[in-house]
Amino acid sequence: MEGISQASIMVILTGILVGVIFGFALQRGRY
Amino acid sequence: MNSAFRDVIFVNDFTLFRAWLLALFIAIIGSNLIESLGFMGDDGLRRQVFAPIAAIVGGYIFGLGIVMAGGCGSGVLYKQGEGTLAAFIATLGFGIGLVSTMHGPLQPISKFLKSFKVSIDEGEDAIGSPALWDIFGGGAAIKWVVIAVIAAIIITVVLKGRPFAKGPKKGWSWSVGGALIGAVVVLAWWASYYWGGQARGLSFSGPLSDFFMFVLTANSKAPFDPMFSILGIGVATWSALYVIGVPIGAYISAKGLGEFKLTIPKDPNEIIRVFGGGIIMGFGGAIAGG
Repeated sequence: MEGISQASIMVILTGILVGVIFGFALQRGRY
Repeated sequence: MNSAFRDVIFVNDFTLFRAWLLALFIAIIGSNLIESLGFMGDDGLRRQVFAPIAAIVGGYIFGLGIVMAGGCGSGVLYKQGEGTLAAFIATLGFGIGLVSTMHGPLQPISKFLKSFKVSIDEGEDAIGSPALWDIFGGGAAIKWVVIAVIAAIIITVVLKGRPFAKGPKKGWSWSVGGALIGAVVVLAWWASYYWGGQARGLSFSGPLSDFFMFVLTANSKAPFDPMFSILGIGVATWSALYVIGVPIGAYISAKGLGEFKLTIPKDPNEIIRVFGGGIIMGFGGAIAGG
């Protein structure tokens, strides 16, 4: 993990997380 | 969105259309509210330049593509999470169409169509990225009057669908789904600004191009949005990352409902159709500025 900033990790995690929430809502809400 | 309009046109069913309107209702009010409250920084929601010819031509082509591909940008991504391999093939076509039009040989067509811009006022007062309320003079009061009128029209149609009635046995009712999707759109506006360095909102054409460019060249080459080092491998936009998350979230939901199933089209013509539809979607979406 050397050289990888905490900010970079947060960018990755929050980006993927917003997609996960949206994908979950789209699948559950298609009825 | 594809399903919402398809159901209205072909089976006269307004259920998903009302869900889409409810999501729009919450997204319009919520995103403008966080902008007015100062949560979106000095640049606010960063509205796009108004290029009507590109929007109409690109939107029309995108519409043709989504019918062939079986889903819009977010549609083909979430259907992958349900195990629909046709959606994966459509996404590959979508990516090729996007990259060709945003960074490749089709770029001159896009640039030409986007060159016809419309702004409000002239000279130093010109507004190159106008919102609807700028037609009426702009300002906070006029902004909220215009939003209130639009919201009133939308909510009238939404309420006709009995949003508080009991939902289906599986999944969420259309009103819960629409409301939560609208809320995620607002969250994404804020998150794109806070974590992505610049407001972008929840679109899929640009971010999917960023994702494919990163996968192929280790560089999203985003023309307007900040890029970040991804574990030292290359640089990508924040938005390129939520593209990965959508199929994962849909997979978690589908697994929970017992709906995940790997499927592949039996008819080879369908594979060609969804792939071609994806390419057309990408071409149209890139031109329209999606």
